Amino acid sequence: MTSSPNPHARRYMLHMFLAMAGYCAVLFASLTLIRGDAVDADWLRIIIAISPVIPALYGLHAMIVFVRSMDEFNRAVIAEATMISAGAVAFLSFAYAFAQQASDLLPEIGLIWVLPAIVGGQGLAACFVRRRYA
Amino acid sequence: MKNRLKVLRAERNWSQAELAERAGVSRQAINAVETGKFDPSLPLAFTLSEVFGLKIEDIFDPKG
Repeated sequence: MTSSPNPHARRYMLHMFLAMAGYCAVLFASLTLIRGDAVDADWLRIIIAISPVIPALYGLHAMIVFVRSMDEFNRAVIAEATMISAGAVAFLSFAYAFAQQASDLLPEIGLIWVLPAIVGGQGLAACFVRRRYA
Repeated sequence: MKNRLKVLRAERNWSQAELAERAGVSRQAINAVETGKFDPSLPLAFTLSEVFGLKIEDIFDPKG
């Protein structure tokens, strides 16, 4: 990503802010409905539970639009960092699952951590990838 | 891939940021191309040749 704020970066920040605000609002509403036992039907509870994913997908769309606005060098850095992060999370979870089957000592880790791990790993990997080109 | 970006830039007294602006890319992209760590695409190579008013082969050396 470029260091100086450009129109694309400003638009990205605005859309990402809207996505995150929407995510927080929908998550709060979703948790309130589910924990309050206001809904009985399982299928409806599932739909309400996954509803925060919709504003999160809007954030993903904003990210894709922003990456498409970048120059080829920055796109290459982001693509490489994303590949490293996704690969690391995939293989670590794969290895953890094998280890978990062999021992009762290891606790269950929820799938909810996969997305934050990929996003965090991508940011970290981007720092290292960028340094290689510096 | 070797290139003469640094020399050509110096001849025109342009900073990396100035060249980046003229070529419509980031300063990091120019730095990565200049140091030979990132090979530009054909469209970017054409843009750079247009910015300098030279042929692509006068800027980039594929044997480098």
